Amino acid sequence: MAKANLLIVAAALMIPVGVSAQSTSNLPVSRSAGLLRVTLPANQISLVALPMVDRVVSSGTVSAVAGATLTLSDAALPGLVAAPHSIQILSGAALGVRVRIGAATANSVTTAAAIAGVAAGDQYMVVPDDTIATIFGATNTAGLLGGSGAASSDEVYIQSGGVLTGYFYKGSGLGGTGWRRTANPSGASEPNAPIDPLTGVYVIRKPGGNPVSLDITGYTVSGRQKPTVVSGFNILSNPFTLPTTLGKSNLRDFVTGGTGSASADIVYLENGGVLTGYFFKNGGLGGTGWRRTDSPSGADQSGVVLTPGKAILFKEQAGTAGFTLQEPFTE
Amino acid sequence: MKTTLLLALALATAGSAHAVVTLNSSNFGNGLVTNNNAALASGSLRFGVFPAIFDFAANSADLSALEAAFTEVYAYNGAINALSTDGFYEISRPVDNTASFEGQSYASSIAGRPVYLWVQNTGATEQAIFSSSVTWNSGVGLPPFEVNYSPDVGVPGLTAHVGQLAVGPDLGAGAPAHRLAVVIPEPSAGLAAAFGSLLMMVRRRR
Repeated sequence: MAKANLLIVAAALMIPVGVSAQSTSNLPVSRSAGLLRVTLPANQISLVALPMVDRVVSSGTVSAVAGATLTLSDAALPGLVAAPHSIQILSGAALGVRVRIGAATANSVTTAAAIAGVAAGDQYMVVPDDTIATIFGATNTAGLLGGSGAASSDEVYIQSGGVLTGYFYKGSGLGGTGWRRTANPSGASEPNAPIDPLTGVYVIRKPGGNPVSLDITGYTVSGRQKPTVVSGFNILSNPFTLPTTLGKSNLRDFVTGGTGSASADIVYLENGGVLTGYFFKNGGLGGTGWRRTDSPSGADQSGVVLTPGKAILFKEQAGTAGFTLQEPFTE
Repeated sequence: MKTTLLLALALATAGSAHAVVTLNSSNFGNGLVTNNNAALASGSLRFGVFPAIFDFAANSADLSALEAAFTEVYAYNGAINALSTDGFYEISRPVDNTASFEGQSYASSIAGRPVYLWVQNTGATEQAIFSSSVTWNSGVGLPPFEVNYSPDVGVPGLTAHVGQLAVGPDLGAGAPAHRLAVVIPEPSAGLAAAFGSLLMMVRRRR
């Protein structure tokens, strides 16, 4: 195993949950707060999870469901659209789903599509979404290598609206400074580009940069987490601050398995800058179990650790699109 | 035949002149049998591309036409005996995405096109050709640079252009094997052979 590049500096400071005044009950929103320090070595790729939420701006119960609009028990919702926010369902059939809020009133939110399974009486919480600025700083205070173009800069890929989009910090040259798309370096700076709920960040660090550490702070989130996935690659956050394994995660129940890596979804895990692909082999010669994509007849990989702070690169390529992570050892 | 290969997908890979795409392929879902339903114990597994429009039915017996149309990226020759079971294979090997194959640039002419697997028995008297929706990874952009290709039932777009899917016996996969087709000589070739034989007989009588 390569040297672990992630330190849990203060995995749990055990600060009491500080949900907003609108909280109506002891909802399973978060149990602790803390800090994850993630190092991003130069000349290496890193998959970074964003497991914490900055705060819970509202929680309670869903009063009514009308298509993609949910009426909430909180009748004094703050502004939820100018800065991106998401609603997460905490009970019922849609348990774990967290999706972005597209429109809101004082007591309702509307999402891009109806949330399957959500019903009146389900518990919810509303949280702010991360952006490039909340993770790396609007002026790149994180210290990534910036340059006049993407080729000479560190690159940050985020999932926004289901699309993987690359950014770099333009630190010099014609056109000023700011977070620019790698595909459009002369475009507008987009420090507030929203990162999809329950997704992470894929960082490509170039040679020559300074050491960079990210301190990811906030409240931990409990219960199962169910990000929206699209066909192809998804950068999914590992939403938990405790390690688990491929086997113990029960992930096999929530992804599509197959007899080979072409007929199954693939989970890529990064360790020391190396991506390794795994799929759940559900039949065929050689039995069943988690296998490496480069060794489907090899040893079972159930013991491979899902490391806190590391995002998961998930390739949705078979069966029904879906992904769910259960809170380790609680279900 | 198993080749264990770490996916060294460090940034250096993306930025170097000698980049690598990893071809992973196995067939543990079905396996392969010859035309008489015997497990295919040896032969060749040829990975590459065929033209987007190619009449396999018209050319299935014309090996020279198939060869001319096929661009080979990687070929394995030998035992087909993964997990000590005839009819099954497993491959993991690097492909240089900066190279050219049979005169075709991987970067400009192969990347993005469907992966074809051309299976031939020893002697090339039987064959099968498969493809699916899996394409050759460019090896450029965001890692991982993998091609995960399996000719197993359930793979999106799996097609047998030559040979038959899942019509053979179960070799141990829990599902019917794919069957190779006999390479039947073209009528013109058969006639030429017969004519040659006839000429030889005439000469002997003289």
